[in-house]
Amino acid sequence: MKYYLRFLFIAAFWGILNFIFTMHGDSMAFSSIVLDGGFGNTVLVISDAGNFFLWYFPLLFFHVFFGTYIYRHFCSACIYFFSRCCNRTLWFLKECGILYVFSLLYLVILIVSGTLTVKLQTTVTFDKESFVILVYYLLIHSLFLFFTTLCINLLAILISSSDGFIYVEGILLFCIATFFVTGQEYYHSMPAASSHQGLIKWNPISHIIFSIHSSSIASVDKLINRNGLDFDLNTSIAVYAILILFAVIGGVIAVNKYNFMDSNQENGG
Amino acid sequence: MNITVNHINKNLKGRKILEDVCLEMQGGTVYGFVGKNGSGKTMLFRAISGLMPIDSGSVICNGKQLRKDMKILPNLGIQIENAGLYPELTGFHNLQLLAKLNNKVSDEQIRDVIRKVGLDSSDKRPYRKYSLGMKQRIVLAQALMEKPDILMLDEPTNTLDEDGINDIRNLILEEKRRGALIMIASHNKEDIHLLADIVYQIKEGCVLRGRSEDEN
Repeated sequence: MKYYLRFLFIAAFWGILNFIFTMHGDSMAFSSIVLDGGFGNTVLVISDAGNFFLWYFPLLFFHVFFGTYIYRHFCSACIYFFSRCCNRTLWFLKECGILYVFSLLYLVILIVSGTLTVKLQTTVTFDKESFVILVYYLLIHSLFLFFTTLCINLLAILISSSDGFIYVEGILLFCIATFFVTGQEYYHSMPAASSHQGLIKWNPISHIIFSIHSSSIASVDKLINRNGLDFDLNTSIAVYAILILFAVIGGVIAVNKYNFMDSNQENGG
Repeated sequence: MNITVNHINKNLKGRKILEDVCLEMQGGTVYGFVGKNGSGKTMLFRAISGLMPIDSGSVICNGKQLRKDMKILPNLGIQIENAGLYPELTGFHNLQLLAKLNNKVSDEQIRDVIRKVGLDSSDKRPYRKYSLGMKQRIVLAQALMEKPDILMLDEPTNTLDEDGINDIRNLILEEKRRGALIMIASHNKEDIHLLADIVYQIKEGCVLRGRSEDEN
């Protein structure tokens, strides 16, 4: 675990890098800082994809560093690890718990380092919506990070580590491309066709983009709902929670059925 | 400690890798397994340990059936040829991580076993930078560190120099005196001759015969 703690500093790097060039004015609300990290300024046009990727890179780096967190027990020292650890289900659930804590810590460090970077340049004000938006941001983005990283690990166990990363990241990039294409169609056909709304809402990547969400809390809705979509933040939490449930059940089955005999990946360097 | 292997069979990808294997083994004895590459020695260790499921037959350890009463043989020390440790960790940290799973040994005991296999426990190099012989020694240390009741060693002296071979042979004999049930697969005839009390020949997944070294 200590080995992986060092990767949390990557979050600090991205927090500083992404906020050092942000235009702040005389002061900046903390909710705006959180919304920057939560794609709260993403506009539904293809030309905004560059800005989107600036904030997507920190998530991509988490996938890179933690994409083998669970898998590495299956490629290194598996014989010696599992000859001592009989209950693979318990072990897997514990590792999932640790991976989720890493996902959460990564986002906390990203926001804290970003806030400190902004604070060095201007005044940061803590508005009343900040706390609610921060909670939603941490919940939705940590669930997304955990789900996608868990999928990379599981595919790595079932296929291979590079394929696991390529498949999951490939699907995510396809979803991002689809999001911007359908988003642009939606943007240019205001009031939008309901089919475009459906496509945006059903896109798995949409759930991490705060600028297309809505909230039952009026003051929060005012800050995030820029496109008039009825897309509650709570829905995104529920969607990722269900996806995680399926992934964890699949993972429990996979690690219990995994046969070290079939693996040629156990040389451990 | 005693292990009874009853008619175990294992097929993999349409190929028979273990066929009707029956064995009776007891603590305080060294069992040698000899055979050509691919004859099924390592597969037999994996099947008996519980790391690999078997198609039929049973493994009974002290009256308890493997995969029914337990998932893995209890208090097992195992070393498999070509199976390494975590490449980015030092030898000591590798053993410490594995030891934490059962919490049976202290850091001092880990340092002691590393010294016993002829390595320096304060070596800061990661496992991936170890030489082949050092890798072999540290993997042996992980097998020995918890004073196992059952010890499975697959080519334990492979890649070791002459001094290393003698050190490891002495350690194996020490484990035998302690009462451990020891299974050794080796191509090294001298290892088998010096260490094994009973020798089994394996050919195409079948255990052909068992003979006492005293019969030679």
